[in-house]
Amino acid sequence: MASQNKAPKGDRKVILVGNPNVGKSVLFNALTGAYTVVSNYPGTSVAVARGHCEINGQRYEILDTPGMYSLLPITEEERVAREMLLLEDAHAVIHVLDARNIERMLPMTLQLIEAGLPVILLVNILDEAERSGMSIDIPLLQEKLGIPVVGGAMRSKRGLKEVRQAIAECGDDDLPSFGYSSDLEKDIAKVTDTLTGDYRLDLRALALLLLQKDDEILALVSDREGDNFEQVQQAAAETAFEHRFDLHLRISLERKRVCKGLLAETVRQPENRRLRFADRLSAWTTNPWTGFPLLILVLYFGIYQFVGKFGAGVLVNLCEGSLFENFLNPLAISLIDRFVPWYWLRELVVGEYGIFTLGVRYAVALVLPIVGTFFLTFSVIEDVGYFPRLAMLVDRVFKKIGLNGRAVIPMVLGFGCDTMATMVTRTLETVRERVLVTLLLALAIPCSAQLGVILGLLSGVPGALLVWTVCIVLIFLLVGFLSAQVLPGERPMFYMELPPMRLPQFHNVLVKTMTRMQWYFLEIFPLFIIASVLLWAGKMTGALEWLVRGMTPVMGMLGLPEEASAAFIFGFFRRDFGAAGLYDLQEAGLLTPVQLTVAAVTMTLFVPCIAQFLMMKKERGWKVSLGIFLFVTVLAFSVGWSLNIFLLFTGILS
Amino acid sequence: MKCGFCGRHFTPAEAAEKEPCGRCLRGCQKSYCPYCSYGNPMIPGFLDRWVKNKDKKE
Repeated sequence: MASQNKAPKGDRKVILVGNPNVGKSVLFNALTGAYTVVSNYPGTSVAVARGHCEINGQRYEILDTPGMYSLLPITEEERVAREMLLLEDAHAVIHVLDARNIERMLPMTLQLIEAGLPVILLVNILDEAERSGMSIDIPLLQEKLGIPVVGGAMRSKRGLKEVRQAIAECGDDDLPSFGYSSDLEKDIAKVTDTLTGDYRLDLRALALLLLQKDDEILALVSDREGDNFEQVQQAAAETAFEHRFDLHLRISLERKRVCKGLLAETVRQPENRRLRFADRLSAWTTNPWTGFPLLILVLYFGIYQFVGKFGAGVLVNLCEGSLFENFLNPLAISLIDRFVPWYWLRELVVGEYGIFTLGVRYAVALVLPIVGTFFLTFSVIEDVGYFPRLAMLVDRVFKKIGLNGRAVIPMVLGFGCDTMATMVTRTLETVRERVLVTLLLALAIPCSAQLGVILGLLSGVPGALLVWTVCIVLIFLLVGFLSAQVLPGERPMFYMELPPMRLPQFHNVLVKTMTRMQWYFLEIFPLFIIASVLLWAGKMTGALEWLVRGMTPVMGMLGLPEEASAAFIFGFFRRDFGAAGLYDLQEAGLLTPVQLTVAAVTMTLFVPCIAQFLMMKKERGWKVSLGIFLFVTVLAFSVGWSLNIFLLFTGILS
Repeated sequence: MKCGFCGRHFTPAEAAEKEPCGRCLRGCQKSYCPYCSYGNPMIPGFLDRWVKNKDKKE
């Protein structure tokens, strides 16, 4: 093992590492005082603070690194932090962690020890942990870990003296080794046995990083191994390929197992301590028996009651019915009629597809109240920390359709905007997953405004919403399941660390909701105006009538009146625009409950808007995107046709 | 900022590494988490100032 403890020239270096917000900077300030220098780390734009302190007559240079979660870097900050650990000749590396989250943060201590670094562990924020009833046996933890461990609270300088003493006493002590399962140890040995170069990093840590395909480490090994590199690369690649679906999970679980053993008798909670409600709720949300009923509750109260009933019902009635229909529209029409003599201009501003009577009204009175309530619900759910738990919950179901919990991210984003969600599919691990999620987004994930309008429309007709929900969920699962059988490819594992669950913070929810509403409104407002101008131009030139006539047989096949064609044409501009068109038809009393349900199901499944189609083409290419376009169009109208026959035959909703 | 999905912290500079989809008229208003790729809303200027003032007070 190559140790980091080389005799330093001049000041000895002490590096502070740890997750963000654990008190590294507080420790840095406590050690160094006021005289610090902040500069970019050479060759990067990442700021690093350097300061000095003197302990027992010896000067030390203290380096405050950017926050990092693991030795396997993902961000530039983490890359810089790791580079500092590897290149700076550290006398000591102080790993600062938050005592309240010791179980989650201790795996990084293991990684630092594994790397052969001279680690000192600072269990910070101990005062708050103790206030919550937690007690950590620091001497026992030190004994088990085999490295200096200090408990403290740097804000009140508790433990600072011990940290300074640990720095001064940090020497060339042998570091402990923590064993993993025999399978993983064999895999590590396969790689370490091939390594012959001289490294600062311990070979065991090096092998683990090579197995996890760390490009920088690969470049380093290539440099050091020379002719032997091919053999190392082959050993690492073969082992990584053998366990390609679960390697990260295995390593993570092994580290967690070791940490659990280390903390077993070290961390104590008072015997009468009851599990926090948030912890219990967190467990319920990921357990299938309680998680799915909870999901239904969230959807019922959050989406159906709040967005559907309150947003799309009460608020839209107030804005669209009272404000626009009774006051603003008549006022605008009378003003334009009085002062504008030209028919074409009157039509453009306040006509059937007028900028004010259609574009502004849809954007302000119809869509905004709905997306506003949707974004509020969304922000609350997000702030509570429910989404990662939802990913864990649906992981099992998603595996049946060739996906895993990771696909929840684009799906969740799809409820905001399917175009952006289609782009995010590129982060999924395999091509198969990307194609499957792109297809399901285009088919069965309505955007927030479309969903809100449809919920608002259907909640007024008993049974219609249930039929719509059953149809969409069945199509989602069926198409996903069948596509997974047809599309070849790998099925990667999914795991993620769950952040703590907490009560929603009013401030966070408000800021996120307002941010999203501002984004959405500024984004859709010009588009709605452009769409109404295009529709006006279509009406004036007769092109719209021609399009509507072309769609009429299809509408007839679905059992819908010919006026519904316009809503479907609107839908291709934007999904929410189409749903708003459906709202107008329902308000005009042109649709029966069966027709309304059939139109809503068909429009939800119907082809995505122009922007989403273009994004599909960009991400998946012409062949796949055209294939999805044709499949979705044919399927949407086939389902609409079948549903119409089924509802008329059975008399449901009649 | 803190990711709304995985709860990890990242800086705007790190988020900017992700290529935007380019479909929004006003440019991308999302900060994509470098750890999980979740799209977090970018807080507009007037709200950002409010957030910073509140953080300072705390």
